[in-house]
Amino acid sequence: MAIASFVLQMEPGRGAEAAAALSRVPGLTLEFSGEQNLVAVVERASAELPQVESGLKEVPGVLCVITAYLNIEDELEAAGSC
Amino acid sequence: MNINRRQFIKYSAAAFAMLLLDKGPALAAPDQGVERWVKGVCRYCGTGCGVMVGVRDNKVVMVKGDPNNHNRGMLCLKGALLPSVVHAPDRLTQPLIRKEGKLTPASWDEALDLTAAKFKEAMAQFGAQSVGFYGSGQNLTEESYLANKIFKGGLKCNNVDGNPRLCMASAVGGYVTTFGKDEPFGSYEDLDAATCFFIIGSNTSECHPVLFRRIAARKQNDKNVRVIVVDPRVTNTARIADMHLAIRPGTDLALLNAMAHIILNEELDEPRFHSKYAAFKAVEDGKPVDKTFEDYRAFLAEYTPEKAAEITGIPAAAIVKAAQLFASSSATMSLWCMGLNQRVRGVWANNLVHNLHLLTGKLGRPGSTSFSLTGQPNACGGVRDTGSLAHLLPAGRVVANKDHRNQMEALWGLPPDSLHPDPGLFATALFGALGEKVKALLVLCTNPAQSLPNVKKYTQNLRHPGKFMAVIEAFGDAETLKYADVVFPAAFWCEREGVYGCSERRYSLLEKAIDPPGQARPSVNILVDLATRMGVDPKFVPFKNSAEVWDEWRTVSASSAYNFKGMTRERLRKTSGLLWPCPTEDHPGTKIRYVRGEDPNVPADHPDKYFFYGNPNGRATIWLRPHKPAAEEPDAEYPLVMTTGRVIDQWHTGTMTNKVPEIRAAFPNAYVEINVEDAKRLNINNGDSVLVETRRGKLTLPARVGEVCRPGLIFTPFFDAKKLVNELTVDAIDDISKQPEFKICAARIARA
Amino acid sequence: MWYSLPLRPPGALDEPEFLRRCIQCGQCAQVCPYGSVTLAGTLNPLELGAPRVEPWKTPCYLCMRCPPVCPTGALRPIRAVEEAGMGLAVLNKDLCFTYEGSVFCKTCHEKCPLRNSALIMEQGLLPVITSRCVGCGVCEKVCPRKAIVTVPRSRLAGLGLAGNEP
Repeated sequence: MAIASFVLQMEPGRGAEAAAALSRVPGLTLEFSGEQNLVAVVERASAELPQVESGLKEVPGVLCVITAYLNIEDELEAAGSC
Repeated sequence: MNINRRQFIKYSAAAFAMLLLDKGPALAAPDQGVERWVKGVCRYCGTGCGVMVGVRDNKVVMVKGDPNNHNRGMLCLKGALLPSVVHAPDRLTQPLIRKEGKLTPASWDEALDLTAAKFKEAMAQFGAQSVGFYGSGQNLTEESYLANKIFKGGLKCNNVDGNPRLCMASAVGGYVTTFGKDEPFGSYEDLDAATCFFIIGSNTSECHPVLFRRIAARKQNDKNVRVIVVDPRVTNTARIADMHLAIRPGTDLALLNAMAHIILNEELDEPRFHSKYAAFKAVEDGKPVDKTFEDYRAFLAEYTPEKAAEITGIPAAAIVKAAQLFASSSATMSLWCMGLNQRVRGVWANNLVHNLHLLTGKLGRPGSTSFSLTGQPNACGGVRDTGSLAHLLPAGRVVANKDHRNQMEALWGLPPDSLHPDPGLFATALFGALGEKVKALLVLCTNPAQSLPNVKKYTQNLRHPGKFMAVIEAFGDAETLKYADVVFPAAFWCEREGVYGCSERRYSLLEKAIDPPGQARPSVNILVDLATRMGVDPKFVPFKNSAEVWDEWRTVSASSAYNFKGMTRERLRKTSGLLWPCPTEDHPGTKIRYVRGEDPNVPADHPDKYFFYGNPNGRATIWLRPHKPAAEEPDAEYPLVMTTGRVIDQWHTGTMTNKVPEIRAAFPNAYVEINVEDAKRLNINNGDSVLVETRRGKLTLPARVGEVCRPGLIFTPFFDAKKLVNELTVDAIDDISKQPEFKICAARIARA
Repeated sequence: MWYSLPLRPPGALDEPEFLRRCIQCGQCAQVCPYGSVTLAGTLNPLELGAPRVEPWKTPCYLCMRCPPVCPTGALRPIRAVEEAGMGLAVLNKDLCFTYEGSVFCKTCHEKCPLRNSALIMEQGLLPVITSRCVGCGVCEKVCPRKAIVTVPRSRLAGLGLAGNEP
């Protein structure tokens, strides 16, 4: 599985509308909703992430999507030190 | 925080996005608008990574790895940040002459004429041996070959040495005395085939990061790979090791002899190999004498694991285990660097590593080899191979041998017996004689005022009123310029064309990418101009550019085991490097030497698979070399051992890496690394100012307290020109290789 | 807003309590040998003059001189580097040279004051920040790609992972 976070920049005043649409995306949690920015964390299979990202761009009210962080857990199998 | 990794990553993901909100997103470096890519080699270490230099408007804007060279497109941070070095604000752009104590701008003619006049004056008054040349493992091969030819052939002066004397003279001594010829047996490809790595005296992780990555990746991909690291510090290299032997500094000879003892004692040797291909020798009364296998076994008898444990501080069981791993793996590769070379018994230590390989037959098959790592990008190709050291002549010849001199006289078109028959002065002797016996010196592309051991002693010579020193240099802030009388601005790195030869006998061409700044010139042209003004026959140095020097050197090599006549300039332009021997233009280069079918120097119909053609008996030598401690051992007055070295990102004396803002921000200052136990005893906390003292000097440095150094050891890096760590080091030398023992001296510390 | 809270010096109490106790005497900033602790003012009267660390300017080198000098206990008088509890560094693998795979860079690892504990080179190959990170910000400062940011502890506490309420 992979975990990614996205910064979504919104048209002013359409945050609630977008947040409602985003809540239906599987594996997605909305960590922050500001006036013009949303932060979403997605946990999905790494192969599906590009599709998720392009999906986010289609959400009504979203102006642009910035991938902030990406962790693909299968990079190195041993990761037990944390 | 008590969270699991999945939660932790989610935290990280959310937190990172959140931080972007207030700072604005940090984006990856945008495309720099590169107009063309020019093939070259990294300017830094002896790994010799291939690079592609991205150029726009006569400026280097990007550097990336060459996917076709051995590094397969990978670089370390230093290499990737080379553009800021090329365009550093304090590049020298015009010649300088010291007038009333100050370096002041002058014309090329003034500077060249003054230098030529000083050299001619010295030679007329005190003879040819009163001048000298001090070169570098960072020069192009053409520059080193040419300087060597000018001084030894043109001026008949053998005082031609260079900074490789400080870094790999012992490795040369080791290879030559064991195998009969210099330079490694194998290549970097052995890294991908070895199943056991024996890394002794090398912090590969910091000093050769791209090779370390290859070793770490190899270990990651094959669970059977074992890594043994012998180092008094828990370096980052040691952290991937299966076995880390934290050796007491200066006891490596005892460890290596004990490993040989265990290998014989447990019948892990390969008699089919060593009985056929090795001869045993020892030095008695200053002369090499033949020994037998039984003599060798008797010699080793005293090096029991228990005795070695007592000397080295490594548990006996660990020494036994290491010897077993070394001998019983399917392919063992030894790697070493300054930890073995910078020792008063550096050559011996090199011999003893080779001994282990000869005993176990771990040589000449993929992954089985003994491989010396080099610190500079062209110490092998440029200085060792061209013979630009005081005792050498090109392609493995030595000054002291009359036949070798006569061969070079014939190749250079000189009258027989015209070369000077005595070896010249080696690095520390050359600077020690400066102002006294040596009146005029030319320094090319190196920074001895920071890099010589016990450097205060030699700066006295550099200040000598009777000396004249001209320096060819690219950067205005090099420590050595403080003592220069004339400075010539040099074209740097990709501002001129030439060949670099890295640790694995690979010669690659650096193509010219941009023009040099201001009046800076390629060193080949400066050398030719100087030589003719000094009175060397222009027909002796008829070179307009480095390509013409290369063609001569290539032809000269054909008469030796180095033979790379097949490496034409055209071919080097097309490929990303070739490994010599490479005698013809259709020869693919040589990965493994001394093996029939691989090395073109071994006749195809030779009766034996291995042939050590460099030795008269055709065999490699297993040397009986007893344990000897360091020149300056700790005592009651100076109870600690001080060792010096490098940190990742900074390179050597920092004249290049300190030009890079990212590196300057991360590594601004030198420090002293102290073990926790010692720090506690001396009431030193992390970050405290600490006075480090040796018999030669003292320095105040911030403490870095941790578990890296073994108790009783302190470590300082030497890149910082504000803290000249080499004022503290000892200048005792190996009596064979004349390499100084930078790595060990006695010291004491106290809170400042 | 919790997400605008800055990084505090080592040993700081949780944010509201820290601000309640801090008398803005500036002793922590005075004792800091690196100039890492600053008293940069903001328009927020509650926060005016309270000490902060801005790692992208000067990170905290964890010399631990400041906690014991705090007269009010806004900074707990701790000595151990491991207890500094300033925050957590986060590495963006998209930006990191080493994860990208063409440049082998280990600068963050080399400079981490808790090297091999808070920041490890996994298999010698990839830098990984562990939960032992105390948030001193040194790696953020030295990263040549600016791929690391240090998240103050106060912000971490505000990150309710399940809910959308900030």
